[in-house]
Amino acid sequence: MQENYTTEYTASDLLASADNTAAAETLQSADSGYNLDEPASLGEAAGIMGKGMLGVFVVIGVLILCIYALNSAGKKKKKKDEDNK
Amino acid sequence: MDIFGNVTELFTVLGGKQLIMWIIGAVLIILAIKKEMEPSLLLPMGFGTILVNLPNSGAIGEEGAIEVLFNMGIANELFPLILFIGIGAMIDFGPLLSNPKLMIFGAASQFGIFVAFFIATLAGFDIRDAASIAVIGAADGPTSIFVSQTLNSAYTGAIMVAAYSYMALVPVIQPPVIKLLTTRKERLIRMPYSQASVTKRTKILFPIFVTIIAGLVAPASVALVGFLMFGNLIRECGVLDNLSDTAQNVLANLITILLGLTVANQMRADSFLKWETILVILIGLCAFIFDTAGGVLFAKFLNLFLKQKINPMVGAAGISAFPMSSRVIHKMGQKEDNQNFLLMHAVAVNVSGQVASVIAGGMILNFFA
Repeated sequence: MQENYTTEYTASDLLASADNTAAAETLQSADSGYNLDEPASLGEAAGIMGKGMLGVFVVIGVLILCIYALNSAGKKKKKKDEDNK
Repeated sequence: MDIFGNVTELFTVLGGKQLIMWIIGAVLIILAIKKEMEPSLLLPMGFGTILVNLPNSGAIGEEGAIEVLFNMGIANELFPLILFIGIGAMIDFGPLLSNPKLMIFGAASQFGIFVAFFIATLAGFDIRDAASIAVIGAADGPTSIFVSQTLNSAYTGAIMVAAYSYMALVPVIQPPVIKLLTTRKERLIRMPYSQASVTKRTKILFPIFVTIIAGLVAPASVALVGFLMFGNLIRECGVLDNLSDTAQNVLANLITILLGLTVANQMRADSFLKWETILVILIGLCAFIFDTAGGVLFAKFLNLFLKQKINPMVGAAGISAFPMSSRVIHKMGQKEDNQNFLLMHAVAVNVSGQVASVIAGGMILNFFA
């Protein structure tokens, strides 16, 4: 999510310009929406805390559901194989 | 040729700092040998610290072996990724797959990473360094190296020393935090264990699902998660026993030797001996403390709604220091009640911490890389 740019150029302008590391690094900062070479504000840091923990919980939650689904599918197949015997 | 030139250089300001780094290197070696604290990493790091802090050392510089190896494998994050193949091949996710809900404690125990980011921000570190320092809380060396190198942090050396030292100090760090946050009654909660069978298909599909799901949410984490899960897939597929054996033993040991030695490239006196290094080490300790607290408090929170209570100590095992943390929790449980067997639950939570820590590292990269 791009919140603000630190320069007046757009990302594509920087890409179109000559290959140089400074442009690439500025682009990196612009793409992430944060200036990596400055401390985050306390509000930004708190936001990152919240989003980060939420993201981890969401991914883990989805994985838990996937594992339950896999285990359930495995049990059904086992029962089916036993019934066929 | 002035053969005493290097000796006299030790009496300069830089030379004095290099002497201090020799002492730090020696301390790491002593901790590795005498205290057996993560010897596979601390010993090469300690010796490498001495190598790179000898005046005019031939091991560094454009054609220095350590610098060449650093550029080959650490600067491009390759060594930690290859090591992750070996680590993935070592992990048995069986206890976790038979009781998947325990995986949530792996998530809760990454709380310390984000608290550490907040503290590092308060301390004035820029985002690049604050995020890299925060990943000490992942309690996972390869993840810490990978993130700090991707973000081009100036503190990789300090981050490595902190991460590996605290992983070895889990038996010292976790118990006081757990005791502070739990009552004796809570520590006595028994958790019956019944081993549910897990199909081979589940064990094979799990690493594939983890990679796809984590990769879709945090694309920057694909390499981290993918290499770990690839190692696990080699283990679980059942047709690549030789490769699994190689990954767990030869490959892991080979990369570990190179990793410890080459990370020492970041332990040069002029870049390591700063006041900020002490801050990094202290923030890393906070990360571990809040990791432990996050897992315990989340378990206590869940107990408000559960009929079958969870022993809150098990929540603390979600830190990624495997298998140390699960053994610590089991021992603490046995100390309170020698009929309380928490090991399998703690192991399940502990391995989930391995997955969650990599996902958390991926989240950090997703925000900033």
